Amino acid sequence: MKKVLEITLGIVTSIGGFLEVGSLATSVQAGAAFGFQLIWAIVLGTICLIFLVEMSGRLAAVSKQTLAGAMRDRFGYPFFLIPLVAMSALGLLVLASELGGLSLALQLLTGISFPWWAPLGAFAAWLLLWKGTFGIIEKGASLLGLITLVFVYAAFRMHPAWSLVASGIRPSMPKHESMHYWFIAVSIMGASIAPYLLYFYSAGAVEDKWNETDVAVNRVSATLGMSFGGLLSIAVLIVAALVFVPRGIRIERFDQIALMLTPVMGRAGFVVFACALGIACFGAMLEIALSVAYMAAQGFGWKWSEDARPRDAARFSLVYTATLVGGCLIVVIGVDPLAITLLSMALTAALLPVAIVPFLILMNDAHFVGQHRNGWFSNTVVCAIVGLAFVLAVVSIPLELLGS
Amino acid sequence: MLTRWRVSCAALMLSFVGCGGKSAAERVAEHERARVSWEQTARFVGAEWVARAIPDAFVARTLARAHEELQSEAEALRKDELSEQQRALLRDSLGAARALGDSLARAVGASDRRAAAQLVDNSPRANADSLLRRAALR
Repeated sequence: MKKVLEITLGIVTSIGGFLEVGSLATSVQAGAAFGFQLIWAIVLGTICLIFLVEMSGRLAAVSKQTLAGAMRDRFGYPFFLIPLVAMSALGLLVLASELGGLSLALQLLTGISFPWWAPLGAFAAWLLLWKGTFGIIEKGASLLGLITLVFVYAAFRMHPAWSLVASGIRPSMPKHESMHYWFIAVSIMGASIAPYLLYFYSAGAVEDKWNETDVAVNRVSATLGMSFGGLLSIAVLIVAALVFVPRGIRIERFDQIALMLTPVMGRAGFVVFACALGIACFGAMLEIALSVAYMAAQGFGWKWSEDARPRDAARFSLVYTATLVGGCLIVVIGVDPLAITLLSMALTAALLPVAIVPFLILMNDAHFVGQHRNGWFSNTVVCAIVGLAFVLAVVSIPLELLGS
Repeated sequence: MLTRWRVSCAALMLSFVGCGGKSAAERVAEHERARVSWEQTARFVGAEWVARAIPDAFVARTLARAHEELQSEAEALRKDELSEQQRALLRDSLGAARALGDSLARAVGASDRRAAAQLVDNSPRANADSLLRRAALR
């Protein structure tokens, strides 16, 4: 009974925590520009994420080590600095895009311009990290994030042609704007396979004191939770396709996205959209700030724990504070939140090998995972998808930047 | 060795730039797409405001954004080396789109939902390049 409860809670929190500004923005852009044609990118990204999340939980449960700690032990400091610097820089960009999303949500609800909300949003996140515990942050934000299920409701209410939706699962070549098509595909994969999630997940598993008996629970909750989360992204894409394509609207600004639920739900749709965006972004901000702090503290061997008092883990607390301040500065100087979101997601895809290849080596090292080593199937799937995302990113990012 | 590397980099960049170069037809389609998108955004916002589904501040902000975007699109069109005939056609449709957005903004400013409803219903529909739309959904 306890296991069932754990699995259910794991699934529910995965669903609630799945959607954030990156997956939302990329799914909406894909739906508005290419209808259902890019569903395959969400499916591929989600499959890869299922494998990776399961692996990071397994690593923590078996080795009692976090991903960052294990990486430092296996490869040494000099090598560890590469993913640390890359992921921290990327984390800052992604955090800025999440804070931009939260600020825009507050702008939608209040009418007050979004840069004014960024310092307040960053302060609220910092306060929660400073005062809160890991359980509150992980489960609280994720449970509130269940509001994003409204997109599934809207998708069903709009009665899409399900055969057309299903046809989007099969990868296909673009019929127009091929450069933009591949850029969005890469951004979707970058948004789905977010490396910060792996650091957060493995640190959470250590914080929750997982052991080998949790491997099966981890497998079920990662698989089901991430699968349902992927369905949530697909629902967003479906709603965007049905709302924006018939009107000929291309998504260039967040203002346009805010209209996506009003055809189905009227005024309530506008408010619910803003709440869903705000909650999803706030939850993701907490996770990203913590992930950067976890990675630095675990990598350098500092004391770390979200449950510890800040004075007892001072350098850990300093890193998440600095990350929030840095993200806030990017938003305050007025960078377009949608542009920074899409770019950071595409860059995530380009940097995936830096984060994932060392992780795969760890997962095949008996010293860390004993008999729970990866099989050939999971190695092949993750390598293929990460390789595809990397190649597409390297080709499409310069083309998109040149095109724009 | 270094020279060869430089030549390779230059060739790669040239190939990117080559891929990035667009034909006149593609550029016309892009201008049209941008115009249709913002004209339809203005129309969508207007319709939702008439239905009282969105707050006044959001409508005003989005219509102002549509105005800015159409303005910058007009600027981009002015710089684009298209034929005068193509440019004139695009300029006219851009002008109509801006006029619709500005009229909607005035109606919203005056809280005149009847006028806004008329504008949304009666103004000629943006020829929302149906071919592209159908291609996207197919």
